[in-house]
Amino acid sequence: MTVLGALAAQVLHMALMAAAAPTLTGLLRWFQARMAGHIGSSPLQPWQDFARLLRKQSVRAEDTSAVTTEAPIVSAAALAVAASLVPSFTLGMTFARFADLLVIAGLLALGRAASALVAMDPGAAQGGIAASRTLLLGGLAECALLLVLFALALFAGSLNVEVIAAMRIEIAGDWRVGLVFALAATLLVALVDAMRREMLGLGVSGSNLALLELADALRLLVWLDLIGALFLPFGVALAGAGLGEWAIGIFAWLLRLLVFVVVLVLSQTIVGSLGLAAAARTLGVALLLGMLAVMFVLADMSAP
Amino acid sequence: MVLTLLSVLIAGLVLLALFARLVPGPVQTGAVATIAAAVVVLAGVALHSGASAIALPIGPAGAMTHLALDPLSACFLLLLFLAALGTQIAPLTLAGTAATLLAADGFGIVVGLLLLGGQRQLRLSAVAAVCIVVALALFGSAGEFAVLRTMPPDGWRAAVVLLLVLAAAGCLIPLDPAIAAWVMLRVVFDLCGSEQAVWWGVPLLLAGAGFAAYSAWRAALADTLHAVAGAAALLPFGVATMALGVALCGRAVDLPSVASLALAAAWLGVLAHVLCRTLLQLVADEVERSGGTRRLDLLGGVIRGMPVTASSCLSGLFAFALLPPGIGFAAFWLLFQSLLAMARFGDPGLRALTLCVALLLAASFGLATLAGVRLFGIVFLGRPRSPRGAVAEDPRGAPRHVLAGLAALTALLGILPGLALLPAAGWTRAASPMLLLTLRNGAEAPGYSPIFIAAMLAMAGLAARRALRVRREPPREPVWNGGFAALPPWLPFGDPAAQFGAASFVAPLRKLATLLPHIDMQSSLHQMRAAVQRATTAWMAR
Repeated sequence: MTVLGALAAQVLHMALMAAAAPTLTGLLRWFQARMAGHIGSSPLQPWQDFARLLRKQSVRAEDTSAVTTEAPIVSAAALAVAASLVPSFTLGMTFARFADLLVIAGLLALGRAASALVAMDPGAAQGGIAASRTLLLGGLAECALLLVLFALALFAGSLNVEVIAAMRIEIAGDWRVGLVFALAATLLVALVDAMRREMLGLGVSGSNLALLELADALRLLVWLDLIGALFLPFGVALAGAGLGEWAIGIFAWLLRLLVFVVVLVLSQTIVGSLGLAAAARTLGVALLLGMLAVMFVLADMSAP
Repeated sequence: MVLTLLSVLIAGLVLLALFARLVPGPVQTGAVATIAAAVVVLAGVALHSGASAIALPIGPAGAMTHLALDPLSACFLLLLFLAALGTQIAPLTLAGTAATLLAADGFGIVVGLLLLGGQRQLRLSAVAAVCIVVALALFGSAGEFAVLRTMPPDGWRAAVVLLLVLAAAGCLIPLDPAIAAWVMLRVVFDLCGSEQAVWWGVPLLLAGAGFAAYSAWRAALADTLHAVAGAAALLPFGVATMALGVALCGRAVDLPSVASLALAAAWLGVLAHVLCRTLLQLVADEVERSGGTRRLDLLGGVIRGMPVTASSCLSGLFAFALLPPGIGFAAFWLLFQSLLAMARFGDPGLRALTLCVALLLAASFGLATLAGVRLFGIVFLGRPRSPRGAVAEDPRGAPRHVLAGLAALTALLGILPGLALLPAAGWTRAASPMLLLTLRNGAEAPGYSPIFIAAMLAMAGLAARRALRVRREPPREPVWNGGFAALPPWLPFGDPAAQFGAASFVAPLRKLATLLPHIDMQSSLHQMRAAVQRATTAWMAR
């Protein structure tokens, strides 16, 4: 029964993630537009965009290779696998044993690398600039993320998302200084990585573009779910929980996503759009916060 | 028996090198390849049958040369000669490699290293050999390894031995980093015993972390194919060196599980290094042969004529860029886990060190992706930047199969790193059945399962492809190039200088680097020399 339950949870989780990703992006855009004083398109607009892109005949740029058709698939697949590993409403899903944080960080990097290759394929200047910026900021973001992961793993004794989340649920009130720094660093990284969009899809169209957009939407969702699972797993059902707890978990997950969207959009409205230098500086601050997090967790461990 | 055959094969290689002028080229290549294949088979047999040792009646007066074959040397023999099958290596270098790996006393190592250095890098190999002999002499006698193991050095002698071995390894990196790793493993891990101080791992950890970050940085900035390939292959070697440092610390604080985890990481790192080095070197050679240049800024769009080379390059870069599910990522994962375990259980000094190491490791992780995408994107994608590059073609015949085979092997070992850890189980002491499908840091711990990740990626990819199947080939249009007009017929590749090139790709990175504290080595050296000169003249005038 538990095996079946875990499998059901996994399938439900994947379906929810697939449904949530474009909707979340749409919601974010709608709220951004409202904050900027526009009416904004409907939160369901990304779904219509997908349908339109899939229906349209695609056009390929001259001088492109198989990378233009294959790399978007790799990018979307990497993000989809990452999304299936990060818990949303319950722990103890079938893939829980494989949900390693380093693997998730690696999959995010893989998705980014594949998208950058798509941008470089037509050989036009904008694509190259976009790829170069994506990888530079992505590299900085990964650097900060790895430090945060190091701090969390030192604290929890494992790099597995579920183990860390279960531990956070158990000692929800324990907010050490190191964890606060880690949360701040992750928020900054998520802000830059999920909100700053380079024009990677200029040279592609049709279903390839749809896949790239899907990967972007999934990336935002994976970031928000990661923050939720690692730092604020309120209401997440434990392994082997019943349907009632699942319902509470789903409700808490939706609430969490809404709060994150509000926080992201508000901070973006206050900070303004991030230029390259500002984004790099923000990530530098995140890096520093990550180092502080590791230092404080290490100091905590040294204290008797 | 196996060892006797191996020494005969080494002698054959030396003879081939001596009479190279008498033997026609193709015959020599064939003979070297046959001998390399025989060595691979013999090393495989030796892994199965266990350790053996013989004494040859040659060497300094009144003494014998001892050779020994244990799991450690058999592993490295297997790896290095398997890689040698794919490339053309001088017979003398191969003989030196085999002699060094099989040596079981100081004399054997000296002979092996001098052969390895050959004429071109004799100075470096001689310095390394002297360092090792002095280090062995500090044990009490530079004789047979079996004797040395019974009397490990202690006190100041141990410290000097470590420094000398590190110096020797540093000299060996330009010759062959894998041999450098082997020297560290043999002397520091095997001969010095486990009763050493905790700080032994520290220089290795720092050197490895610095090396990894520096090679990733070099790979991101270098502007020729061969320079990028060379720097890229050194990143996994840096990971391996770090892992050796963690293993030493783990052993010193009596955590055998951490030590074996780190040793497994070190082996995977060396393996990734050798595979990356061979594969990227072959790719660089092929592209240069066919494209006419090794400068990144003159290549472009090569994938159209060279699909096999391009996919091989992708496989090598995947291993280098520490992306899952590649072999480099497996080494990185194991290293990260062992670092964590060391920080959790180690002493406070080590903990402070792990912060610094983790930062450098994270930086190399970020830079490696950038370097890999830059190399592939500039060389293989986009529009051709020169007429010769536009007509580059894949190699035919044997080189093509070698490339494809090596690329497939690299990808396979990335998906099944347990397979790569099997031959090394004798000296890493990592529990092999547990590791075959999933890398774990404990019997019950959840781990990293590359085959699961690969299967999931493949399933998601196939599903997406089926769902989005395109019924007919889409029409091709000129790309919108920021408002530039379509290219005139008399300028078929456009103006190469107007394309986004390798230097433009890292321009933001260079700009970012100016924010870091900058040390100008050249001018500091000049200033130091001037200061010394001033001091000398002042002293002379007195």
